[in-house]
Amino acid sequence: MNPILTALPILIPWIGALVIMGLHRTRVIHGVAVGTAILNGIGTLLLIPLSAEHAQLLIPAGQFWGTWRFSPDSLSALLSLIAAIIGALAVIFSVDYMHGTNSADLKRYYGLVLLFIGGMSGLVLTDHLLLLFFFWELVALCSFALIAYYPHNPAAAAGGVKALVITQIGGIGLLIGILAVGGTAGDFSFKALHSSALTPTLKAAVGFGFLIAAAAKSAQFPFHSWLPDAMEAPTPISALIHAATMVNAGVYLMLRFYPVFVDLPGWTDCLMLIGVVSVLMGGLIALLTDDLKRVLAGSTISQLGYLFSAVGAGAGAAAEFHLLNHAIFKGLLFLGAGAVIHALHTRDMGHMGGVRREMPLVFATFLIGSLALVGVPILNGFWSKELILEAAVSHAPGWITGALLLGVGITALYTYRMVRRVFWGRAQDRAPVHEAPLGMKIALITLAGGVVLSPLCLPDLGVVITEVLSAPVTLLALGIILLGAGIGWLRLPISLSKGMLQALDRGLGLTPLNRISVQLTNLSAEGLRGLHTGVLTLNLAAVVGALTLLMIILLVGGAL
Amino acid sequence: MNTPAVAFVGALVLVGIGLVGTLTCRNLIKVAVALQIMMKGVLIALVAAGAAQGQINLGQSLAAIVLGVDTIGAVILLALSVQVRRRFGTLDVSALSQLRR
Amino acid sequence: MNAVPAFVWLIALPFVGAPLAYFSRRRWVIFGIIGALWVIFGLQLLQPRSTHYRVGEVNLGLDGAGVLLAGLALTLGTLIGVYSSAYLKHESGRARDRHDALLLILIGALLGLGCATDLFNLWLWLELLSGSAWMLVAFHGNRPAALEATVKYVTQSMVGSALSLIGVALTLWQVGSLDLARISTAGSSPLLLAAGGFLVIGMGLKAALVPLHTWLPDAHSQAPSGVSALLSGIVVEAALVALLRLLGALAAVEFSWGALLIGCGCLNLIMGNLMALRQSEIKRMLAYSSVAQVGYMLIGFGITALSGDPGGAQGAFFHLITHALLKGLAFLAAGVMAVGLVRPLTLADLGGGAKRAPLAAMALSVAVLGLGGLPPLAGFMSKWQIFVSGFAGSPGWVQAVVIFAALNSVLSLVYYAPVALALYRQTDTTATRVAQPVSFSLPLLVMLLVSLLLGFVPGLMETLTGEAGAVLGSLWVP
Repeated sequence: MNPILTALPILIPWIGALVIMGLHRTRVIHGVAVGTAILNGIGTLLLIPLSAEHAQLLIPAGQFWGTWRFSPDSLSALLSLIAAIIGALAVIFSVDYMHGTNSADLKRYYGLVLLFIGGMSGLVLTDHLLLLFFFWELVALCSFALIAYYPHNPAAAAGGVKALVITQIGGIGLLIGILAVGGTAGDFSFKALHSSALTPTLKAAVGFGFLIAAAAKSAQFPFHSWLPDAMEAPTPISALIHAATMVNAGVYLMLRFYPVFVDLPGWTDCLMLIGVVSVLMGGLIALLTDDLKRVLAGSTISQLGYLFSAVGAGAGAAAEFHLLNHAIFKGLLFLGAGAVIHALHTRDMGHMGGVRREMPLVFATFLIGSLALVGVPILNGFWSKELILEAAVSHAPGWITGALLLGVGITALYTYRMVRRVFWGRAQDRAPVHEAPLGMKIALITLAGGVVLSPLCLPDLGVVITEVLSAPVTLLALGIILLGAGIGWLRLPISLSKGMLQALDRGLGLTPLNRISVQLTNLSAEGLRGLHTGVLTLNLAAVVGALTLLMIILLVGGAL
Repeated sequence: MNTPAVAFVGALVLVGIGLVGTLTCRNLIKVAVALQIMMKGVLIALVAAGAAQGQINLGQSLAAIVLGVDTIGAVILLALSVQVRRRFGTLDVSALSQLRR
Repeated sequence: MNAVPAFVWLIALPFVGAPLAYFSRRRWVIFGIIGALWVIFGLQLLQPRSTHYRVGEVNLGLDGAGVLLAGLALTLGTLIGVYSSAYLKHESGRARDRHDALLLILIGALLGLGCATDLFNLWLWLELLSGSAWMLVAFHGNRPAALEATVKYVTQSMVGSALSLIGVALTLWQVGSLDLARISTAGSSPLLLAAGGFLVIGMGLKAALVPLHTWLPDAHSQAPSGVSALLSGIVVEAALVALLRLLGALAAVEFSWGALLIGCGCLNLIMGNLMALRQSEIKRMLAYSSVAQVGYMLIGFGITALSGDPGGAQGAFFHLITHALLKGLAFLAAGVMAVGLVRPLTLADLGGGAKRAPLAAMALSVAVLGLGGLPPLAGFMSKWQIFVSGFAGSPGWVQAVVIFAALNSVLSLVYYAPVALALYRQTDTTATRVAQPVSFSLPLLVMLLVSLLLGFVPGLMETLTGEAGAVLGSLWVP
């Protein structure tokens, strides 16, 4: 096969985005967006044969860039396929979700979504550090613009800027790492990381820089606070960007460079620690909120924590498998939540309840997704989560395994609570709603099918089944799931310990620290503005002061 | 101390007086005058520096050019003062503090 | 004195042309003169860089840094000449003639500054540059705010020039010559150190080193938008280049000028960014961001001064170019957005901007995101070059400065991002598209395309910045 086909997953969505910019009728815009997304899904399937034959697309790009290299392997093909297929389903879902939007906003929406899908594929396909950074920032930019999509919602703008700033702060780690590699090895290909020119100190800087970047991108502790605020985005965006694809970029980075950094002292421990803390933090966030999307956001933080722990424990294959499964079931949950939110016009679970009867299909698919999230047998989440736990048992310290198991219980608890509050109970002072429209149904059913069938993708499924079923930790985990769900069923302990949990959330969630640093920046900015008095005399006094200070510095510095 | 050194130190004193003047005067025209004192000090310094190196011609020609340039500056500043008096009704420099923060 | 090199005509022509443009009262005159300047500039580029021209004691020569400044001055000058045709449409004919004449003088002063090879000439051309800039800031002199800004600019700038003249006098006292080449062979002495101090303060005032920057946000926000673009884009930076040339001559003095420059750069970064953070007036925010952006250049030049590696200066020169393009673009686009507004343009006014003026909105958002350093926009590429030179083989504290600068880049996004958001989140549903004159869209389009191109193909400027960086780098070889 011609290696040029490797560029299809990037080019198809980008060309589609350009075409959409020139359109005016909303129906045509929807149509072109769906067509492009589906075409892209088909084009991306070509990556499977391409990666099997180790195709390489080389583009000479001048002296500064060197050679742009795109080389798909199984990992990048997997992530690119997730981006393309979940992207296509999110776009199909959007046709109903964004119904009635004016054409200017719709162009902006689909343009950014398609730009994102292409950028995400580029991020995982490239074999060039600087290009990786470029795609890394491009998807952050799309995410920022889409979080801030709703024009009349100031919280959306604030959430967008927060997400951008936090991921950018993490991005500095990546930038510094690339600087160090490019500066010493003089080459931006991934091979440069293995260069012998990298001293151990420099390599450590690169490794931990990449770790910081990955943690910020994947909303891991202590950078996790942007993800719940990003829930102001339209729900298909949350499903696509903030559950299935972009947040996985950090995990991708860790998976990709694990072999390079595994020998760095403390690197894998750090990875596992971040993962475990995030598992618990995310679970608490999900437990303590009444906002349906924030529950899912907390759950995403928590599940990504499992991925980080798995990579840290050296279970790369398990992490890859869970990444795929999580993308599917979390995408399904977000889209299902989107259907409910679209019908009820609220995200507050306190105003939901009893949706089960009115939207049976949404309920059924959401339930499948929830069970997969919890890790109930034969659904995809079960297999991958058990694999991760097993890896933790054999490669990680005991307390990490314990914390991961505790996370399993918390997951069961908040999931039970969420499903009960949304779908059971009585409809509380709200207008009756109807089943989701066709486009939403297509997306939901497809994803629900994926939840059941995705384990079949595994080449060594039989081995996995026997391995999981024979491991003692599986039984333990199932017991803990029952315990968590049981606590949810009894309802009592949450209300008892809510105050304690909230305190824990504040203390560990760095919420106060976050707020303090933001306030400190704002205060110093305001305070400094006070220094600009606008009085000429004081301006001149500053000049004289600077002169005096400089003369003292010269006197001291010159004497040295 | 030789003559150029004395002149140079005197010039620096003059510049200092001018600098203090720009800081203490509230009247815009007085600020302009203080700036002129600074500039005149600088002129003497240039001539003195030239003289110290036996190149008084160079020092003097530099001073002549600076004289021209700083006169232009003074004219502009005085013209601005007229406008300030007209728009703000005062020559007090502390009145000119709308642009702050 | 056989052949007069082309660059002498290049310097002379604007000063002949300025009265011509003023008294002829024809707008095409200025474009004719700028066109002629371009032709002469092209001819000059064909000649070897080392040509010099001597009139008595004065020695003029155009080196790589001068070529870069001249090219940038001509490019911005041309675009702003076109832009002002529409921007100043409602002004009286006299006012427009004055604007054009001053614009020519400003360009001429920039060209002259690039050719100066002695201390006094650097001072003189800088003074001329400031003089024309004062008058341009005073363009709306009937508005109290503009008047106030001009008074501050003039007064502080004159204090600065007096202080730098003390430095000139001290140098003359010690060396007996003002030729930069001669000064650099004079060795180290306390007098030269003091001279350096006075010159750093005096010229640093015009290059807006914190805390000498206080005139900048006032002047740049009150000037007409085209003038703000010039002032922020190149006038401040030209002063910086002048400062570096003379510090290069003082390289033999036993003091770490590089560390001083990097320190000033950090101060500029944090001060400019924090001050810009809470501004709601767009032009004032952009002016403060210029203070911060000068910080990146200072760091780049400082790295060169520290190690003699021309890479830092090359990156800083590249940043000078991209900043001139992006900041110029931002000011011009803000000017388009502000048409018809008497009060200053604020963030709230930008709502629905993408509907009213799509090109200007696109330009402004690309400009601010580029200034914020998002790859692959041009602003990132130039910062990247500075970071690369500061990271490889530098002492630990310089690497820490690079991380600090990268963090500041993120901080700047906090105020840049809302600008782009405000333009595209269509809160103003009543906004309708307003037709823009060609003289608005043409400069915007040109600068937009060039800045995008530079982001993807940063190598385009490599010869230019490489030569300019080598000029400054050669001064600092230990």
